[in-house]
Formats: sequence, structure tokens, C-alpha cells
Amino acid sequence: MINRHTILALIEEDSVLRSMDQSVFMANDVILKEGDSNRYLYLLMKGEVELHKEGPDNNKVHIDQLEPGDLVGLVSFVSGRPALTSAIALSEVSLLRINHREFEELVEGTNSLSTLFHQLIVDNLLNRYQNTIGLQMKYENLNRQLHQERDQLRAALNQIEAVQQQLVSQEKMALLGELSAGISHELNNPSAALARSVEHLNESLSQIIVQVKGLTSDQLNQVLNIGRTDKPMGTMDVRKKTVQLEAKYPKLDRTLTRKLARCSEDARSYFMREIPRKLLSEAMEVYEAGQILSIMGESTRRITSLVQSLRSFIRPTTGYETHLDVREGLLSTIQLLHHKLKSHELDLDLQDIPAVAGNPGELNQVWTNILDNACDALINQKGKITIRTCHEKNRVFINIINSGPNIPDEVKKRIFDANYTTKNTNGTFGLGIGLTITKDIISKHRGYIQVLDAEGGGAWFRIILPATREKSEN
Amino acid sequence: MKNKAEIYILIVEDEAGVLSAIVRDMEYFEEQFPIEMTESVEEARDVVKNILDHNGQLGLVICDHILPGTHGADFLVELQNDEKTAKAMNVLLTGQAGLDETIKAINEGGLKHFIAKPWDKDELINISIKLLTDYVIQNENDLLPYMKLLDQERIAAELHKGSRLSDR
Amino acid sequence: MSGSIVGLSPFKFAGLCVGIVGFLLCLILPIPGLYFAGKVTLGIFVMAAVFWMTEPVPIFATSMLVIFLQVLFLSAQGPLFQNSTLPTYTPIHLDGNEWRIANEAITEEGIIIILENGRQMPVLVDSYYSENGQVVVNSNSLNDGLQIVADVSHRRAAYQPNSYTDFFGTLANPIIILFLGGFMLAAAAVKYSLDKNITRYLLQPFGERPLPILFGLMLITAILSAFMSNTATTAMMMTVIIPITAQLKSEDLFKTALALSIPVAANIGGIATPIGTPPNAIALAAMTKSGAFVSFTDWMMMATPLVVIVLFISWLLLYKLFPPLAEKINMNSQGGFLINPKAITLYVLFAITVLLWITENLHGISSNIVAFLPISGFVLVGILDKDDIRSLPWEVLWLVAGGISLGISMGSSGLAEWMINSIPFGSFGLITVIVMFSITALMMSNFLSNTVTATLLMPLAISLVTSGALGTDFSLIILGLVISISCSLAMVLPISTPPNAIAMSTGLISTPDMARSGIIIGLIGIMIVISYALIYWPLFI
Repeated sequence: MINRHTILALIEEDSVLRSMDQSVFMANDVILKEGDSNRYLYLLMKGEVELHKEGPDNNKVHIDQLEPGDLVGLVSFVSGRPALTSAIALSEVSLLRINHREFEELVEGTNSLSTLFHQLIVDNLLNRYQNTIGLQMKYENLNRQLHQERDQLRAALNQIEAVQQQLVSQEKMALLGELSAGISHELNNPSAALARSVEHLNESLSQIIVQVKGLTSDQLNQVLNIGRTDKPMGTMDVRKKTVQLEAKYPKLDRTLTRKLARCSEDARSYFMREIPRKLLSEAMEVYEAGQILSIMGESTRRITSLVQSLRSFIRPTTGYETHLDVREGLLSTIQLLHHKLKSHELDLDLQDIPAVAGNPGELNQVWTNILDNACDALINQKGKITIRTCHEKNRVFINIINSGPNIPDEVKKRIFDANYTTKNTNGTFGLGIGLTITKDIISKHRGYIQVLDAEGGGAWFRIILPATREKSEN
Repeated sequence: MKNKAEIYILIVEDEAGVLSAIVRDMEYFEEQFPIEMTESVEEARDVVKNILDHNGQLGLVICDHILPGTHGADFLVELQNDEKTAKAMNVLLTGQAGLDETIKAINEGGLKHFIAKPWDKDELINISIKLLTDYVIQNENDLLPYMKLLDQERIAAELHKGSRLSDR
Repeated sequence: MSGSIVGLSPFKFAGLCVGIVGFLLCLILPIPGLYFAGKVTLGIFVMAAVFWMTEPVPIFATSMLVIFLQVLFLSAQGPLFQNSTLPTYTPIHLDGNEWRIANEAITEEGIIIILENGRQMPVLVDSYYSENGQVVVNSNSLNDGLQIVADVSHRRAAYQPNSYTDFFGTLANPIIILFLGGFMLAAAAVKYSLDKNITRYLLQPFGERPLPILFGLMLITAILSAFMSNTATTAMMMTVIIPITAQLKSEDLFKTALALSIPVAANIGGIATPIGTPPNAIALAAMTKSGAFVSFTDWMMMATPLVVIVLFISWLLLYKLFPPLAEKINMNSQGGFLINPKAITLYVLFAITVLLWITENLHGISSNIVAFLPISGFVLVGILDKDDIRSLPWEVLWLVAGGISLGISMGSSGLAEWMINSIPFGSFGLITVIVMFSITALMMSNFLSNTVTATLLMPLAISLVTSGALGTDFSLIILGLVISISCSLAMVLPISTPPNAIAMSTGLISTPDMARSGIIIGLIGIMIVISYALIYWPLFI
């Protein structure tokens, strides 16, 4: 291996080479411009040269730094193609400029200088080859790193998505949790009535079998039917009636008087007209059995419908339907929130509206959120909640208005922001993202939500959803 | 309403089916204690006033918690804080055993008992027997009329200890 | 309804009105054979009887009213007698046995009242009107200088007013103190659960079979009620039997037997000692006042054998009427006697008192005096405190005091004698009189308070015996026992006695059950009482 400095020293001394053009460039001078054709091969004698390439967005990409003994513009000079890189002087440099003729002489000559020159070229090429391998290695490394980072990013993204999904479902579960207290109450009433009724009917039936002797089977049938279909009076009327009955039939015992007072007017007049006084308690027992049956039927109906409402609420979020009647969801939600809503006056104005496309479970979440909020706004007072649906062209409007306090404008701006809540901590299960999720869900359904001031005070939530386009019709 | 110093049982429940079921379970007491049914707190207030106006006493209030307008626990607290009805025993009946409300009712309302829906008839009757026995022992001079329906052993023990009855 | 104005049932309101009207009528209407004081006493008697029967006010309140009215209208210090002097008149000797007297000095029945050493002696005389309308009597009871009462309708006629202290004093009558002693014993026993613990302890030997247990319960009830009030004993025993009845099947008649056995045994047990039940006090007070002294021991010796027999018969009867289905009964004999200085002092004092009472004849210390041992002893030691004293059944003492007080005036005003004279007892004979009194007492006290029954009947018995209509060898003691024991045998109805009321209140007994056993026990009891009155008791006189 020959030392470059030895070669340079020899060239200094060589008369032929010394006769060749010596070019001197000052710092930052462009020796060779990228893209230009190159007619010279430069040998760097002194100073330093930087090679760089124009990248995208006019960024200069540093390629290499050359030292004395290196050749500048070798590839473009030999191949005749435009220069691949620009060469810029970093300091004052002196270069030996070799033209084609001189080059050929140098290459083809057999003297020691030629040999030296050959060696220099080979050395340069070797150097470049080495550089290329290093670069390739570097590139591979970088590429690998890049892949890793990309994978990490993707994982992070997935995680973020999962968390968001979790939050949404947590909020839903929180809502459900808040509802569940009410739902359990709602379920408990009919189930308690049902449980007690079964037992009462048991007792009642055995009593009827043992005691009821005086009534004809016709009367039995009739009384049972009356009992099954009778709508008992409200407690206030029962009290008034009890006083009247006590005055009119002072000999009847207290329980019988009360039971008679509870019957509807028709049932009572039937009893007083058709049933002999001494069979009255027997008849009452049968009537009660009928009443118990009717309570059982009613309780069963209520449990069934409540379970249905619940089912539509917890429907998985993937379910998507093209023809949804928003009102069904509203009614289900009202039923689930009955325990909270029943403290207030409820004004329902559900006009016929076109179907919308969407996820019923998610939309129920929206109604629940807004109605729940409305109840919270009316806490400690008896207020009014209005729910009105209407439509205009292809848009469906759902208006939910409560008679609570107005929402201040600064709150209105932030009400759909995450983690913004005006609820105090006690008694609420929400994460404070209820309305945020509401807004997301509505956006997902290509709709939007507005908060307005209601006429005469209160908050007015208006949700606008696009109606399903009817393609197949006509 | 009769002009008699009777001890009333007041039931407050807004669901007709549930109300019927409670009343049917409580029929056991009706021979001695007139039962008043009400569907809301406002109505219950009127009935209480009417009972008191007619020299009656409020002995036991069985109240659902979730009622339209006012919560059952609040109504019981209200009765407890009114000197005219403070002596009345009470049972809060609910399917929703909210801890906050329970604590509130116990602390402020002197809540005597809490029964979860759906209830058990024997549980309801036994608790009512206990509470009404407490009531008559605390408030009545002549315990004999109540002995048949209520806790006989306790009333006998009270007759023995309290020297309420003597030879004549 | 007018009764509702004063908060009374129509029946009670009617009782209130009848009582007041009866009182006034007795004062206004002329009643043949009765002088002013007798009429007043009759008025009080009628009003009290009506009040006691209809109870517009509690019976003890009527007793207090009786004492108040007596002090007001019949006492020497009352407004009527305070400044009144008896108008006197000296009859003018006409001829032989004929004397002219003032028209007002003779009753319509022809009785004049002669004053002899300050005492008034009513004498029946022959009389006619002279031509000038003046009364002439023909009597050898009159002599010169003798004065007669000038106006027989005067309030003092034939009446030497009692001092008001006589009426007030009834509340401190030795019999009342004896009762108070009994109350203190009972209160302390209740306070320290002595009665219940004794019951548990004594029940143990009776095993687990229904028949002996029933006997055990009845025996213990009877023993306790002999020294405690029948009512308190019943209440305590109810706490013992209610858990037992809860073990029995609902169709087991033995429940009824158990629930009935307690009031039956308590009522019967009360007969055994003077302090067993208030009618005994009324009888004892009346006997003592008339000089017929009966010691605690004497009473027990006369009454206890009867109690044992009636108790035994009742036991068999209840067992036959309501036979058990259960073969075995679990007795909970948990618990033990309290052991602390006060409790032990109580046990000792209790034992000493009872021992001294039943052995009165051996040591001669009056049971009335012994009664002060628990009275003072318990409060001195602190076994009973202020509150315990306050909660004693004082109204029973007032009830008895009222009864004793009414008896005083019924005697001194001549009312009792007048009543006796209205019925020809003399012609009835001994057995008839005893049967009449016992049946009357039994019937009345089934509806009325036992004490009231004794109060209403005892003055009659005294007058009857002292009038000599039954012969001089007949003792007031026998009639007193007949009346008081017959009162205690009344247990037909729930209202007959408080123990019956308690048992009925449990709902374990029906009224017919109680009536059935009550009638049988009452009738058998009366038969035994009559035979004792004729055969056994005379041995003690």
C-alpha cells in the first residue's frame, strides 16, 4: 500500500504534473456543481473539500469530506455523466486540474508516475467502496431503527385506541351503574309484587277451596272475572268511600269495609246487589284472587318490558341498523330512568319522524346521558322535562328540555369537553366524559348536538341526525 | 274516620300492585290497628293530619323510599322531627338500599328498620310486631288489647314489671 | 252521642247520669224507715255502686269520691253537721202511757227517737191524732224528763256523726298496712326477679310431661299469688307459659289448658292468705271492726285446705277439658337467683316476713306489725327506691280504703240495718243465708270488681250477724270468709278479674272456654265453701 502523502510528495516533485493546471479555490467556492457535466478530474493537493447532494426540500445532504490526495469528480469525469454531487471548498484549497488528454497520458504511460497515478485511482476507488459498504451498513441500521420506532408507534396508537374504547365503555358502564340502582328498584317493585302475589294467591286459593261454599259457580266465575279486570280506586277515593261504607254498613268488619272501598264503583254495586251479605267475605276472597292475578300479569309485563329496555341499552356497540326509530330508544331510556324521572313532570311530544341509521345502543347512551343530566339539573325540585321529536327535510330533531337553571355561556362552550363536569362528586358515577362521548357518538352518526337556552329558562339540548336515505323506494 | 283514639298503621307506596301486596300482608294487624293506604307523601301528610285531628295516633309508618316528589327517608325524617308524630315507629321499604340514604335516615330520622324489596312476609310482620310492641309499651297504659296480635311475652313481662295492672 | 262530649261510651255515660241522679233522688225522696243520714249514705251507696258497676271513672276514683262525700256530708266536721245541734223535745205526759209529742217528732212508721245518755234510740210506738190534730203516742218507754228528738227529719236524727278522721283513717287501717307490706314484698320480688326464679326452680321437679307440668304451674301460681297480687303473678307466669304454648301444635288444646290454668290458679291462690287479694282485706277490716279477730295463721288454716282442694279439682278439670296432644314439653329452666348483698338481704327479709306471718299464732306478733318489716326494711337497705315506692299499686289501697270507709257509714247511719230489715233473713235459716251470700258474691264479682263486691256485701253481713237474726252462735268470721272467698271464685268472664283479662288477651283462649271452666270451678268452689262454712270453719270459732 502506498502512502498518499508519498504520492503527493512525488507529484510535487514531478515536472510533468507540476506543469499541469493548478487551481486554487477559496472557502465556500463551488468546485463542482451537482448536475453539471465535468470536464476535469481534480486531485486535491491542499485544503479540504466537502461533497454534498441536494436532497428534497433544498436540504443539503452531506456525503463526504475529502482530504489532500483524494480525487474530486472522478465518476463524472470518467463516465461523462453529470456530476452526482457538488464539491465545495471548506478552506482555501489547491487542486491539480487534469483534463482528458492529460489523464489519458497519465493512465497509458508506463513511467513511475503513471504507476503512482494508477495506485492513487485504485486507492480512491477502494476508499469509496469502503465508504459505500459503511453507508450501506449505516443505512441498514437506520432502517431497522426506523422499523422499530414505527412498530412502537403503532403499538402506542393501538393502546391509545384501546384506552379510548375502554373509556367509552367505562362511561357506559358508569351510566349503567347509575341506572342500575334505579333499574333494580324498577325491577324490584314488580318482582316484589309478583313474589308476594304468588304467596297470597296460594293462601287465597286454599281459603277459597275450604271456605267458599255459598256462592254458585256462576257467581264464582263472575266475581273472579270482575276481580281480574277491575281497576281498583285510588287511595284517596278509598278513604272517602270507607267513611261512606262505614256509615252505611256499620256491621261490616274493618278489613271487609276497606276491601269493598277499594273496588271500583261497578264491582261494589255488583257485590251489594248480587251477593248476600253473609257471603260477602267469601266473594271478596274470590275477587281478591282475581285482583292478585291481574297484579301478577301486570308485574310480569313490566318486568319483561324493563328487561327489553335494558337489553337494547346494553346492545354491543357494533350493532348497526339502517332503519332506527329514535323514539323507541327514547321510550326505553325513559323506562330505565323512571325512578329519577318520576319525580318530575314529563312532557312527551313524539311526532312521527323518519328512520335514522345508527347504533341503537350508542344512541340510547346519548338519550340516557342527556336525560340523566336533566334530572341532575332538577335535583331538589319538582321540574318539567320535555322531550319532543320532529323532522325537517332529511333531518331528524330530538329536543330534550329541562326547566332547571340556564347553562351559562362559558359552560356551554366547554360542556362537551372531556373531563368537564359541573356535577359535584357525591352521588354521581360518571367520569365527566358523558357529554363528550355523547358528542362523539352523534358525530359518528353524522349529526350534531347544540345546547341552547330554553324558553322560560332551562337547558335545551337539540340533537340533529340525518334521516336514512330511501334508495329502494319509488 | 272514626272518632277513636286508635293506633294507625300508615303505608306509603306509589305502586298500586306493591301497595296491595303490603296491605294484604299487614291485614294481620287490622283487627286492632286501622291501616291507612297512601300513594304519595303529600297524601300521607294529609292522612297523618286527619288521624291526629281525630284523636288517633300514628303507630307505625311503612314507607317506600322512591316516591314521586319526596323520598321516603325524607318523609320519615320529617315525621320524626315533628313532635306530634315523633313517637311513631317506622320501616323504610325499598329495593334500593342506598347507603347514603340509610345513614341519613338512621342519623336524622331515627329510622327503626330497613326492609329490602322484595320482602318476606314473616320478616315484615315480625318487624311490625316488634315495633308496634315497642310503641304500645312506650305509649299506652292499657296493654291488654294489644296482647293478642303483638309480642305476648314482652307485654306480659311489661305488665309484670311495670305494675300497670293490679288486682281489683 | 252525648257521651262523647266527656269522652265516655254511652254505657258509661248512662252510668254517670244514673249514679248522680240516684244520689240526688235518695236525698230528695222520702224513704220509709230511713233517716236523713241513712238517706245520704244510701245515696252515696247507690252512686258508688252504679259507678263501680259502669265505671265512668276508675273504681279507685269512686272509692276516693266515697270518702270525700262521706267527709263532706256525713262527718261531724263536715258543713252539714259542723254547727248543727239535735233539736230535742220533752213529751208532755197526758195520761197513763199516753204522751203528747210534736208532730215532727214521729216518723210515718210511728217511730220516735228517745235520747238515752246522749244516745239516740228509735222506738216504735202506738200513736193517734187528737182532735186538735196533735200527735198522741202510747208507749211505756217514755217517762218524765226523758227527751226525744223533736224533728225526725233532722239531719242528726238517729245519727251520731263520725269524725272525719274515721273516714280518712281508713287509708292507714292496719289491714291496709298489711297489704302495703305485701305490695313491698311483691315489688321487691319483681325487681330482683325472685318470683320468676322461684318459679323456674320450683318447676324443675315437675319434669317434662304435660300433666305434672300443668299441676306444677298451677301450684306455683297459687303459692305466689297468695303473697303477691294475683295480677302480677299472672303476668309473670304468662311469660313462662307463652314460650311453652309456642312449642305446641296449633290444634293442641293443651294451649288453652295452660293459658287458663294461670288465672284460675292465681284467683284461687289469692284466697289462701289475708293479703292474697283485696276482698280479703275488706272482709278482715269488717271483722276486726266488729271485734271478730282473725290472725294470719287462722286465716290460712281456714282457707288453705279449701285452696288446695279447689286447685286440685281445677287441675283435673282443665286437663279433662283440654287434653294435651304433646307428650313432652321442653321447659327452659335457664337462669339463676341473683347473688348480691341487696338480693340476699331481700331473700332473708322476705323469708322472715312470710315466716312471721304464717306463724302469727305461735309468737303473737300481729301480722299488721310484721308487715312493717318489709315496708321499712326494704327502703332502709335500699332494696326499693323512691321510684319503686311510687310505682306501688296505691290505687288498690284507696279502693280498699273506700270500701272500708263506706262500711263505716253504712253501719253508723243505720243503712245496713235498714237493708237487712228489708229482707226477712230471720226466716231463711243459716244454710239459706250462706248460700245466698256466696251465690250473690260469686255472681256479682263475675261482673264487678271483687273488692267492690265485698265492699257492697260485707256491711250487710255485719248488720245481719250483729242483728242476731242468725242466732247468737253464728260468727261474722264465717260469713266474711264466705263472701271474700266467693268473690275470688268468680272467673267466668274476661272482665271477672284482671288475671282472666290477661289470659284472654293472649288470644289462646276463647270466651266459651273460659266461661265453661269458670262456671264449673265456681260452682264446685261454692259447694266447698258452703260445706266448709257449715262444717269446718265453725271448729275455729
